[in-house]
Amino acid sequence: MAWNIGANDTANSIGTSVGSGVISMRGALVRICIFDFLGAVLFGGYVTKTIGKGIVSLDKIPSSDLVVIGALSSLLGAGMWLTLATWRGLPVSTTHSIVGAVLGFGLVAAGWQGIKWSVMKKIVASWFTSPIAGAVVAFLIYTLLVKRFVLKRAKNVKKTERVFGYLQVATAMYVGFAFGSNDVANAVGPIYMILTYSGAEAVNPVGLLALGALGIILGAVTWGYKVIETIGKKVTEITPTRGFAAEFSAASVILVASAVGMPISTTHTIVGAVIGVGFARGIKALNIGMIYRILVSWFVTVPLTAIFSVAIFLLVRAWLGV
Amino acid sequence: MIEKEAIALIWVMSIGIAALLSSIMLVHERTQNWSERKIVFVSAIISLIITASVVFR
Repeated sequence: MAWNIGANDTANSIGTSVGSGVISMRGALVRICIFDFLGAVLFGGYVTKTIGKGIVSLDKIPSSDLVVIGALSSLLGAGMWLTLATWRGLPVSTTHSIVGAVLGFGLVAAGWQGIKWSVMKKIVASWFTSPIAGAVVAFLIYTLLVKRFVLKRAKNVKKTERVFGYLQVATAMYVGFAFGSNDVANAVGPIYMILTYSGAEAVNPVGLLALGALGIILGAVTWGYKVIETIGKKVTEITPTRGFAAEFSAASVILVASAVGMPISTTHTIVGAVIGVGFARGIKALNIGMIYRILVSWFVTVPLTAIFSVAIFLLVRAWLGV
Repeated sequence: MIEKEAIALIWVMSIGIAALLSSIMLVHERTQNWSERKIVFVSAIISLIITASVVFR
């Protein structure tokens, strides 16, 4: 799961930097691995993270064995979808993948009343608020600050682009750090829960976080290039000024949303931001076909991961006779 | 985790202020001929000072 998270989500932080040519793919991956690792190990915070955003009332599941099987099914179900999405170069939300998978096993194990539908409503709302917020803020920053104030007045456009290139990389490092600290829990949180429920004597939290962080780095280095190319090159043309506007907008939206407790998806926000800066140059600057494929992948994430998770849950349950 | 939120706020605020300062330097007649490294370096230093004075006052 950590490998999948690294392969699909690393693009959120370095996709625009690679797409604008500010940094090479190799250079970006080396830098982002450092910040991902630091964010994950120093601020992983997996202990308090509920699996799948607490969408299932675990006390309504008849036995702890089913909880363990469910956690395993969720990881595998979400992982299957993420592998498929990454293979197609589609940036999807890893959090929503886990949520969908947990929802699936929760419906089977705990029934309709075992699901906290109020949590699900907030997650569905974030499908719309995340990309729209990212797009609007990025559009405004690029149009008002960059295009009208700087690019129109600056004597040397190439120098302007290089200056914003530095700022873009600094922002990308922040997004990588934040991504590492938030997303590692999606991978190791369920493992911690499985170990706890199965009565493991001692669980080394730092060891788990480091393992998760290594998995994320491995995923980024081996397969991250697919989604990086989508975000960096296939939605719209990215330059350092546009890339900075997109990354900084996404970082700001995520920061504010986290502060006010609004559910937000990093992936949806950054893709929305990239669309926003592209739209600032007109609709023809956008690759509508690619955007359509991305939107479809977002809408099928929860139902598909639920189906995968249910199938694995039922198979394992039947096999073990639980 | 308060430390994580503080780091996030400082990091994002610093970059935002640095971007504003860099934009001004790129168009102002006194600084528009500076090299890009000098512009970024000076913006970064000033933004860190401003951010630190706001966050830690």
